Order: sequence, then C-alpha cells, then structure tokens
Amino acid sequence: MEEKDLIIRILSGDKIAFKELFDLYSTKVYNTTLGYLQNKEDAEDLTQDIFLQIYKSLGGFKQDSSLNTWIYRIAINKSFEFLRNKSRKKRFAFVKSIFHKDDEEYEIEDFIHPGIILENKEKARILFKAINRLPDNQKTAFVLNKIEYLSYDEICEVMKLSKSSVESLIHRAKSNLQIYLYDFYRK
Amino acid sequence: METEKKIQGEIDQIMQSIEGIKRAEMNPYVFNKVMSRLNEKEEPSIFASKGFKLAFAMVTLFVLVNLVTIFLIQKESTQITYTREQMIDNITYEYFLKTPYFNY
Repeated sequence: MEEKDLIIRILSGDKIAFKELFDLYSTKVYNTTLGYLQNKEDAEDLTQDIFLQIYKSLGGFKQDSSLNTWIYRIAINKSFEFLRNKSRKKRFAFVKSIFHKDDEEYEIEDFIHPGIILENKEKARILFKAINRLPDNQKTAFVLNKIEYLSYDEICEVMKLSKSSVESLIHRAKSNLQIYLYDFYRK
Repeated sequence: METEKKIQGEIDQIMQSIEGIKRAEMNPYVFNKVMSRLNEKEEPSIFASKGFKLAFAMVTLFVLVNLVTIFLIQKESTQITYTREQMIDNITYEYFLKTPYFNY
C-alpha cells in the first residue's frame, strides 16, 4: 500500500516523494551498476540516468511485480546497454587508432570495490576482472547474489527464471570463474 | 602436484575475497544532479516532431511537382510554335469541321 501511495504521489508531481524513492533505492541501484561497470564515476552517471528513466516510466509501471524488482530490472538493462555502448566506442577507437597512431588507446582500469576490506582488495581486483568475462546471465545472477545479497527467490523474480535455472546459473558462474582464475595463474 | 594445490588454494582465497562485501556509498549530490537534469528537460522542439516532418515532406513534394509542371509547360510552349492558319486548321480538324480529302 505504501509503495502504491509513493507512486501516486510521484505521478502527481510530488518531488519529496521522488526523493523518498531515491533514498530507498539509490544505494541498491548504485551498487548493482557498480558490480557491472566496475567504475565509480560511470556507475554514478548511470545511476542518474536510471532515476531519470524511473521518473519518466513510472506512469507505465503495471505493478505486476514489486517496485524493487522493477527498479532492479531497469538498473540491469541500463548497465548492459551502457557496457554495449562502451564496447562499441572501444571498437571505433580501435579503428581510429589504425589511422591515427597518436591516439590514446582505451584502457580498462583495474577496479577495486570500495566495500571490500583492505586485506582482500588485491584478490577482489582479480576476481572482478574474471567476473567481467562471464556471460550476461551468469554475471547477473552472480552479481545479484554475491554483491547485492539477493535471495534466490528475489533473483528468480528479477530475472524471470525458475529457481533451478538461477541455481544452475550461479553454479556455472562459479565454475567459469574457477577456470578463468586458473588460466590467470597458469600464465 | 604441489603447484596445483597452491594454485587451487589461491583461487579459493580469491573466490572468498568478496565475502562480506559492504555497500559502496555514492556522492551525496547525485540526487541534486538528477533533479537539475529533470528541470533542464526542455519541451520537445516542434521541428523534431513527426507531424512537422510529414508536413514538411508533403509541402516540399507539392512545390517540386509544381516546379516540374511549370518547367515542362514552358519547354513545350517554346518548342511548338504555330502560325495562325495552322492553329485554325488544328481546331477544325479536331472538331471535324473539315473532312479529310483523299486522292484516289
């Protein structure tokens, strides 16, 4: 009921209600995007875009899922969209670099999550690099479970999958991460 | 064998490195930025609307058709020049005022 009231208030143009929504979900949105983009500035910019999108699309929210699930879906879709655009730009930059030798090459910076304890920072940096290589569905299931601490039921709702599918995705993600890390150490 | 075990140990440690990860805090001004972007949002320009584009295309097509027609008429009128007698002949021929004369 509270959720419905909040939506109605936002739709009637109540800015304070929108601030309440922002306070409720901004940390979740920011941390989800941070898990995907692995860059603080990009995650902050994308969080802004996501809340603009939420504000614009709230009228079309059918309420067949919870607001929480709906916002997670927007955050995930926008994160993938952002990554696709970035890799497209990267490809274009590569083509440009063939013709202009002086251009700076695009570099993927090493990401250290601010929520990791100091002694694990170096190991987590390696793990985040490996997470980046996971297929989209496995990455989503892993990020939602291990970084966002969502339960399997919540992940099922966000990803519109059965519980067994989510379990399988997380299991495969862990296996793939083991393989990537093994390759990393063999090199 | 020893190396394999060592590697597996390292991998396990890396896999556990995100256990207990805390939520990251973002810049406190993000909400203000969102609000300023919401207020900045301009009304969509009339030139960008679909209706305007369609109307513009139709007017352009109308003007083009007219220009082509005028050009063709002018060209035709400069090419064919009739004398007064020829014009009368043409009219009489068209309205069957003059029967064709055939030589046998």
